[in-house]
This record gives sequence, structure tokens and C-alpha cells, in this order.
Amino acid sequence: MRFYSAALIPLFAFSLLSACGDSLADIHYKGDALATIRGELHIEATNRPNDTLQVTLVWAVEDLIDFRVNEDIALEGDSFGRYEIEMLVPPPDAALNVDPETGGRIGFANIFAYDDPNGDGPINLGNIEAENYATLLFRMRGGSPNIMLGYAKDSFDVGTNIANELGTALSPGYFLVRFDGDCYCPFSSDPCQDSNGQTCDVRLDMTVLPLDTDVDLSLVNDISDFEAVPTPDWLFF
Amino acid sequence: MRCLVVLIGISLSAPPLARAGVVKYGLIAGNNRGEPQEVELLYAQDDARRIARILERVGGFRPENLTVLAEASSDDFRTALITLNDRIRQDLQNSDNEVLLFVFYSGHADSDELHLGKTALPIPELRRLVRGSAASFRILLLDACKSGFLTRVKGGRPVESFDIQVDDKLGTEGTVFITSSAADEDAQESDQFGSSFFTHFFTSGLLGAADYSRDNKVSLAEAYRYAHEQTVKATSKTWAGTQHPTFQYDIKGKGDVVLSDLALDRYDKSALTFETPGHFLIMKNNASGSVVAEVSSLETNRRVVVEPGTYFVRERRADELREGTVAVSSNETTAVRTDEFERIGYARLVRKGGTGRRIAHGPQLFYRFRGEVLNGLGPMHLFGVSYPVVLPWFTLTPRIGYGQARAENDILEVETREVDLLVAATRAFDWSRFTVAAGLQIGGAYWGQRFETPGLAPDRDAFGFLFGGIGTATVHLPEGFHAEVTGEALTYLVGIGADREGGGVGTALTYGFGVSCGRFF
Repeated sequence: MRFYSAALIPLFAFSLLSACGDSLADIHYKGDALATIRGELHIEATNRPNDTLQVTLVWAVEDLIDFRVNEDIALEGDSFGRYEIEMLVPPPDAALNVDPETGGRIGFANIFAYDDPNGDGPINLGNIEAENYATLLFRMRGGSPNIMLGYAKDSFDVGTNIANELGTALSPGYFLVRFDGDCYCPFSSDPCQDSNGQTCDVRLDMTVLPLDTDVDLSLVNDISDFEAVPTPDWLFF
Repeated sequence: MRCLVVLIGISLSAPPLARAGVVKYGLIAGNNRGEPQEVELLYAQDDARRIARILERVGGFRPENLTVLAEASSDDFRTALITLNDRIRQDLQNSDNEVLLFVFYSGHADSDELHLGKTALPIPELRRLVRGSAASFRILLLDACKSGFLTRVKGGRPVESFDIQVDDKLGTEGTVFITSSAADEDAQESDQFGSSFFTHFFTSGLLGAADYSRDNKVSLAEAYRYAHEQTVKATSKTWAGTQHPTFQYDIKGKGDVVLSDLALDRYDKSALTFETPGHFLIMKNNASGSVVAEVSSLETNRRVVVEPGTYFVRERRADELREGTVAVSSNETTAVRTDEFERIGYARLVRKGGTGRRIAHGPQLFYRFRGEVLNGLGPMHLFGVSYPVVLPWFTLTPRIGYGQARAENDILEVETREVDLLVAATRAFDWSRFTVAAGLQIGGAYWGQRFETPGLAPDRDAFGFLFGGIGTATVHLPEGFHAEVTGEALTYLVGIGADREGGGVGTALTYGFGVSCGRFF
């Protein structure tokens, strides 16, 4: 009995260790989420979206055709009630703009729903370049009208133009920002303008939101019916 | 279990004879079967034939004077002995020869009688028949269980050796009884020797192993001394216990009785000479051949007569076996030089036994290629150290290994480092210079995972339990070195999951194979 008891000691020890240690990650592990974007899909369209509906991020850079897609997430379920995107990595550098004031890099992305009827997989940069903008727009089925996903690669302290615009200092990482109003005033001496190009004097209000804020997406029959908040061109520097 | 009695009786009651030639008569009987309830013996009849062959060859017994009985009844035995006694009487009446009578029986017996199949021959009657012979020397040799009862009754006792002051001039008289076992002991057979222990050593002695005086003659005292020493030594390792030969004699005179004359070989002068002291087992043809003789000598140049042919010789040393084949030509003496023999590795030696070495151990370096434990993590190259401990029935091998593997997906690269600690228990089987083994192993492992990613992936430290089967094939090299190939199947129990702290324990099956080399001490 003494022998068997002794033999069981390492067995118990390893069992305890198995319980105490971390889990072993396999090849499907892609890292912990830097941010998780989630929200509801509001189906306002008369045409029900296809099951191939996906949500993607389109990073806003100066050349709008040069979309930078971070990741495409297939939506699960029949209701299209909720979606969730895990941001596992920062956006590519090409999706970021350089702040001329601080030299810091920052980027903003629209959150779009798009259709993938031919099942050719997620949109990526290569695919988009191969398509024309119209085709891409044709696939768009909606998006968030007033919330964008932002990413600061560098810090933007209080007093910088970026911090002033956003109303808060930024640490590196993802953040959500909500745009309110329809009047944008550029940094230049040009007058403020609304979405119709009319001069206005009420500034576009931007608010940084907690990352766990729901970002709801509105789906439309025609992407031209989708009314998003005007993207301030200063984002493109 | 063999129940054999060896009783050597020398009755030297005849009056002194003229110094003419010595004529030797022998009755050699072997019965594998005894009473119905007794287990059939394996080698009793073979022992009888072997004794007869050796007596004819080096004992000076003419073939026509040797009567060999197999599976004889008590009447057959009695008749044969009476017939021999008649011939001896006639011989003595017609010549001045001196006569030696040698009676050998191997088979079942108890304290009262020999069991010759379903018949019985009372031992007192046998003693009377031997004592009643007109032969000058009367030798009775019985081989069966509890034979020591006879010498105990008659005042015999276990002794290592004795000195019979009788020479071959036969100018003495007296009686000697020798038994292979004490009164309360069993006599044993050996599958390795293909003989009873005592007869094996007694015949080896007659062939020269017992020639302590190195005069090319083996006396009764020398043969008994050798057989006694080796029987006690060999049977002390058996589960039946040590077997103690005994003897009892009543003789008068001086000198010694020569049982074999190594220079007298009737047919051939072939012999093996062992140049160095040691313990040698001689087998016919090859390692699986019949055992011819066993030589245990502290002296150099011990000579053993053999028939021309090929012999496999195994020298047992404390730390190794040496095995080799020697060819013996007709009428030539072949020197056995074990320095030129193959040396059996320590591990094989432990398993083989016979040297007193009970354990062998030594370090090994190994490399192992192991299949992936988790999907996509890739195979792993492990390097490490093991330390096999070889015991007679199994081998325990603890080992510690280290390895690392890299894998990547579209987001990150993962480097997995593993340290595992296992103990394997294997059962080995030896073939010549090769050994194969199979068994089970059990142990634990530590994994450290480090990720390269533009995102966030904290390091992970995981522990697991593993077990499985293992098989090895080993080739033994000189000086205790060896090389080995290994194959294994392993089951891992480890926490698995994308969530670092929230994964469940899962199982992973994988395989591995590798090579190693090391040295036993």
C-alpha cells in the first residue's frame, strides 16, 4: 500500500497543477480583444437583408476609396438582432492619419453593415481595390449614423487640438466617439458648414463614449438613403 | 521439482588384491517416472546417459561393462545388478584384476525405497546388493529427494569435501555414501542445465572442472568437493532453497579413488583449456545448445575434456558476461580466451542473471520528435536526459525533456515551450546485441506560451498530466554504451481554451518517436 500511495502523489500533484495553471491556447486563439464593439441592428428596410450580411469597419482616410477594412464579422442568428466585433489588433498604419500638431497617429472608422451575396468572403483591402466604389456602395446596407470607432496609437494630452475637439485627452487604444449636430467647423479659417454646404455656426459636437456603449446599426434598402453624420474633413488632416 | 538422491557408496571390504589391471563395471539407471502421484521428471534419464557417456570416455569404463537402464522396473534394476555381480565374480576368478563397481540411479525416491516407475526397490536391499558385490570398489550413486535420510541414519553429514585415503591400487576397504541433498531437502533440476544440479556439477567435475590437483585426474574427493560447492552455490538462488549434498563412508586404507582420467580419453584427446580463473558455462554448438559442463575455477589453465566440435562458452563475471564460440578439433586442446569474446551489456546482464548483478543504470541523452498536442500548435522537438534503471524484471526510466515549437495564424505567432517529466516502466526482451522493450509511462508537463501579436495576448503557464505507452529498440555497443530508438503514444490532460483562466481540462492524443544514446554503469 505504501508503494501505491507513493505512486499516487505525483498523480495528485499534476492534477492540482492542471487545475491551477492557465489554459493552453491552440492555433485558433488570436489574442484577447483590445475592444469589443457590439450593438443592435435596426431593420428599417423593407427588403430583409440576406443571411450573408456582415459588419465591417471602414477606416476613414483622405482617399475614401482607399478603404481600410479591419475585420469582417459574420452575423449569427436569424434575427440580426445583435452583433459583436472583437478588435484583436490595432488598425494598420495606413488606416491612421498623422496629427500635424503633435505628430501623433489617430484613426476613425465607420461601422458598416454590408452584404456579401456571392459569398466571396470578407472584404479586404485587396478586394476593394479590385472593385469600384459604386460596387462597394451597392453592397452597403447601412451602418451607424453617428458613432465611429476611433483608435489612438499615441497619446493626445489635454490642450492639443485633438483633445479639444474630442473634449478629453486620449490614451493609446480604441475608443468610441459620437458625432452630434450637422455643422462642421474646420481648423482652417473657412466658415463652418452643414451637410448641405450651408454656412452654420453651431459646431459639430463630438463625445468620446465608453467602449461598452452599444453601437446600433440602421439597415436601409438603398445606401443612398443612409444618412450618416458628416465626417469632418479634419479627420483626414 | 526433482526428487533425486545421489548416493555414492564405496565399499572396500574385499581383501587386498594383486596389483593387476583395474576393471570398471557400471550400472547406470535413470527413471523420469516414479509413482503415479509424483511429477514426471525431465532430465533423470538424460543424466543417466550423460553419466554413462562420461564414464566410458574418461572414466575408464569399457562399453561392454556399462549397463544403462532407462525407465526400468525394480526387477530390471535388481536383475541387472545381480548380473553385473556375477560377471565381476567370474572376472575375479579368472584374473588378478581389481574391480570397481559404479552404480548410479537418477529418479524418484523416498527415505525407504527407489521409485522405479510403479515399482519400488528398497534401499536396504540395494545397499546389500552393492555391498555383496565381489568388486573391490563399490560405488553407489543415487539422485533423488530426501536422500540425506540414508546418510543421516548411517551417520552421514553435509560436508564441503572429504579426503578418502584410498588409492587406485585398491589396497583398502570401506564404504562411502554420498547424497545430493539432506534428509529434509528436495533435490532440484535445472532447465538451464538440462540436468539435476548435482549431476550437472558432478559430471562437469569428472570432465576436468574438479581437477584441483591439476594432475589430469579427477578423484572421488575432488568430484564431490566440486559438485558440493557448486550445488550449494547454485541452489542457494532457487526458490526451493539450498540443496546440501551429504556423504558417509567407512573405508580403510590410503590414497584416493580416481573417477576420471583426463588423459585416458578412449576416443579423442580434445579439450578446452581456460587460461584465466573464472566461471564458465560450456554449451554445445550455440547458446541454446545443451550444457556440456560448467567450470568454476580460481586457478589458471583448468582443462575440460570435450568432444570435437563447436562450443558456446559463457563466462560469468561480476559485472559482465562474455560469450563466444570456440571450435575444438580432434585430439587438440583449444585455449579459451574470453578477452576476445563478446561482452554482454550491463542491462542485458541484469536481465539475464547469473552474475549477481541486480541493477544497471546510467544516463542517456535523447531527442524526440513529438506530434502536436493541440490543434495547429505544431510538432515539437524535445531534447533531454533520461536515466534508466534496469532491474531483472523491468526497467524504470525517469526522463526530463525540453522543447519548443512555433505556430502562427493570421493574427499572432505563438511559441510554446514544454518541459516534461515522465517515468516509464518497461519490460525488455533481449536478442543478441539487440533489446526491445515495451511498457507504460506517466508524468507531467509544463507549457509556457509566449505570443507575438500587435494585439493583446498575455503569456500563459499551463500544467498537465500525461500518460501512454512506449516501445524501444536498443542496440548494445562496447563498454556499456548503447543507442536506442523510441516510439510512443501519449495522452495529455491539460486545460484547453481561448480564455486563459477559464478553459476546461481536455485530452489530447499524440505520438512521438526519437533516438537516444547513453551508457550503463
